[in-house]
This record gives sequence, C-alpha cells and structure tokens, in this order.
Amino acid sequence: MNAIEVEGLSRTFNDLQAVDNISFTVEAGEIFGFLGHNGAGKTTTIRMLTGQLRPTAGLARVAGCDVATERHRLKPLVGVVSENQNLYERMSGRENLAFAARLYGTDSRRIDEALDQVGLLDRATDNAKHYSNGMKQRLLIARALLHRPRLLFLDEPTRGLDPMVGRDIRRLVKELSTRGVTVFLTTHYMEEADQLCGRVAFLSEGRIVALDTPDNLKVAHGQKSLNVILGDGTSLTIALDDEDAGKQLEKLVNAGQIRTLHSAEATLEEVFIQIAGRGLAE
Amino acid sequence: MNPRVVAALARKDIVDAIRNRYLLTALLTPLFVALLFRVLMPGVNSLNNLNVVVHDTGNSVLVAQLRNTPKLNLIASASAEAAANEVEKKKATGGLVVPVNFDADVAAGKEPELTIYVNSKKNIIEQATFRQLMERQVSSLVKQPVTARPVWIELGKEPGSQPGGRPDLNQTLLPLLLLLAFAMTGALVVPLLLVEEREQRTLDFLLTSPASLAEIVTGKALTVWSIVC
Repeated sequence: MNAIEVEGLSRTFNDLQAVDNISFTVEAGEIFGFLGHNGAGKTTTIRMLTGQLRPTAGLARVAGCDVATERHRLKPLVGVVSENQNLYERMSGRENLAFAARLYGTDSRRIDEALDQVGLLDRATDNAKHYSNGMKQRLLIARALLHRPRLLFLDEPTRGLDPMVGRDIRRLVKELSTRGVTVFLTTHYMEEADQLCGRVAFLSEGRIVALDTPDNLKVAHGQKSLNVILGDGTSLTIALDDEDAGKQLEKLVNAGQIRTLHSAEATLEEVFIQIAGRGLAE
Repeated sequence: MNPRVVAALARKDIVDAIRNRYLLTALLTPLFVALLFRVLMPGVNSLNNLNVVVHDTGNSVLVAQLRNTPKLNLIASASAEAAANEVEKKKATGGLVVPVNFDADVAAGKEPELTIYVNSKKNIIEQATFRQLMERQVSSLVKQPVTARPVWIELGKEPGSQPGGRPDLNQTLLPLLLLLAFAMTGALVVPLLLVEEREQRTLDFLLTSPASLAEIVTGKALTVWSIVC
C-alpha cells in the first residue's frame, strides 16, 4: 500500500516554476529521501504534501487523503518537522508539547512519553530558548510524533547538528520505520540518505531527475573501478570499463605486485553531481 | 470551528503574552485608556455625589424620589429666587424649583412648570448626568406621556459659549470612545499575534496542525478579549 502517491504535481510562484510535474510513490513504512540543491523545490513539495500549500496542477494523495481537498482529514495523520526550528521559545519543552497535544486532542500522558523518547524528559521544564540546537531539533521531532502520525515529514532534520545528535536522530528515524511509520526525508547529507533511505529521488530545478535505491543509482551512474595498492606503497585506479583493464590487472597479479585490492564504487554524492550537474553544497 | 482548538490557541497565546512584555503592553493599552478617562473625567459612568439645591414647599413626590436616589445630596433653599444663587454659591450641579401644588397639577394633567437650573461651570459629564436624572425622574412621576414641563436654565454660562451637550450624547460618547479603544486594540493585536507567529515561523506548525486559519484567527481574538476584558 502506498503512503504517498504523487502524479504530475506542479507549483508555480508568479513566473517561477518551483515544482515541475513530479510523480512518485512512497510505500507505507518506507524511508524515502528527497534530495536536491537549495531552491530545488524540496520544501515546496513538502508544503504541498502536508496541506500548507495548494498545488498549481497535478494530484497528490497522502495517507489516503487528497492534499488539495481533504486537508482537514490529512493533518492529524501526518507529523511535520520543518527545516526551521519553529518552537515557542518563551515556553518550556513540556508546554510546547502540551499545546500540540491540545491541538491534536492527544492524551496529555503522551507528553512525557514523547519527551522520554527523544531524551528530553529531564529538561522538560526549561524554556525552549535555553535549549541547544540539537535539543530543539529533538523537541521538534517529539512534537511531530506526539499524536502518533502514520507519516512523518522531516525537512533537513540533522542540518547544523553535531555528529552525535545527528546519529541519535538517524537511529530514531530507523526505529520509527521499523514500527511502520513512513518517513519522507529531505537532507543535504548524502551519506545520511545512503544509510537511511530505501529509495531516494534527486530533485533539480523542480524536476525529479533520478529515483531509485541508493545502490542501484550508484551502480547505474557510478564509475566501475578498482583501487589497487602496490607492494611499493603506490596506488593505482583501474577503470573496469577500460578494454585493457583485464590485462592490466592480470599483469599486476602475475608480477606479485598487489598488496591490497578494493572496489571503488561511486558515492551517492558523486552520482548526484553526475546527474544534477553540481554538488549539494554549491 | 472546533472549540477545543480555539481554546488551546487562546490558552497558549495568553501564557506566551504574559511572558512577552511588548505584547502585554499592547494588550493592556485599553485598560490604561480607561484609567486615563477615569482620572481626567471623574463623572464617567457614575454619580459622584451630585449636589442639588431644591426649593419644594409642597413636599412633592418628585423630591421624595430624589431623596432616595443614591449619591445625590439635596440642599434645601428658602425661596425660589434664592435657589439660582445658591447653585452657584454652593457650587452645586443644579437646582430645582418645585411649585406648591406640583403633585396635584401633575395628576390633573396640567403640565406644571418645573424650573431646573444647571450649573454650566460643572464638567459636562456631571451636567449630563444631572440632566438625565431629572428627565428620568420627571417622566416617572405618572405613567402618562404628559407630566411636568421642565424649564431648563443654564447658570454661570460664559457669553457666546456652546450650549451643554444633550444628555444622551454625553452619556454615550465616553463609553463609545472606550469601546473604540478596545476594538482598535483588538484590530491591531490580532494581526500582531499572527505576524509574530509568522516571524517565529510557528505559523508553519499551526498550518500543519488540525487548526484551520479561521480557528487560528478566532483563537487570537479570544486571547485579546480574555486579556483586555
């Protein structure tokens, strides 16, 4: 069963085509990566899929609801962690969650559970403005999970966080996925997408330019090569597409010159650069 | 419109506003305006012990009614002629001269003349309160349209000055101004609260929550109403 179905979705802002005729599906329980440069249309897509923005054209169904006509039914079914740390900073962590619980009609006993889930129970009464970036991000995730959504939208959840917090968040995302929560993730970190996502879509200038599993993308677009370290310590790369690759390798083996031999598959970032024309950081 | 969502929004905003000095100041402005009116216009919405000089040799029902009116001090005058002077001399709000057979003439429908002095040196609110009180008391004498015929005389009036305002206008002007202050505060603060949500980017959270835009705006209006009323 598909948690998200998108068909020919577009959005324009005056003359700017922010999202241009994109189509994809996301299965229930899947972690789906949506990757692209700044301004590629990731956040606009999330805003359309979460009912914040009406599409200019096309259809999208999220958790079985039409995003254009069934927004009221859709909203309690999804959780959203926005790219901005949009907390009420004059309120404590618990007050932020208590407000969300009242909005969603969630049992207030869930508040401490959610705080515990993200490791913030002992700082629950501190004002959110005194939280570190990592704590704010964890509180945002707790708020998005409070009403036990079937589908979670994470917009750059680990941006600007230290590696330890990033790792905790990735672990939490994986755990959610094993519990059947569908995760729609945008990130700048290709390694993160590679580790977490079952499939990724590359977005460039509002269009999906590639969509597949990270492994398939690496195989299809990466350069096939071997990294060879020779006995004298020098290294060598043999491109397997080369006609002479076999002979070259045989010669090295016969001469007993090889110390180590590694496959050098492309990284997801290299694949992205190859497809989209430039890196995410550019 | 979901009352739970509206109440949740209002409750959150009240907690947030109490911790936000700028917003709290904006919300409490109508209360400051109201206090200012109380200080500058002491007659607003209350009878501040009006002093009224009365000449009533016939012990009329009208004066008996006035005697039972709270915050109204009646000062007896020996003669009809002295009453006008005593209003100014004793700085009373007004004076009243009741003819000898006043009650009998009212009952007979003769429309007896009732002389009422108004001290123009008193503030307009006090004058208006006095005028309205007298009109109300006279019309309540009998349950008939024709009762007494009041003759209003303004004392201590500067030559060329404007006549005193009608009681209804004066009575409604200040409450209207206060109402306007409350309405304007509401009209300014509700968008201010929305702009703050937008600036903090928390509006995105609200728009992804089950709250509709109408519920968000109603919640803000309820916040303003709860704090200023």
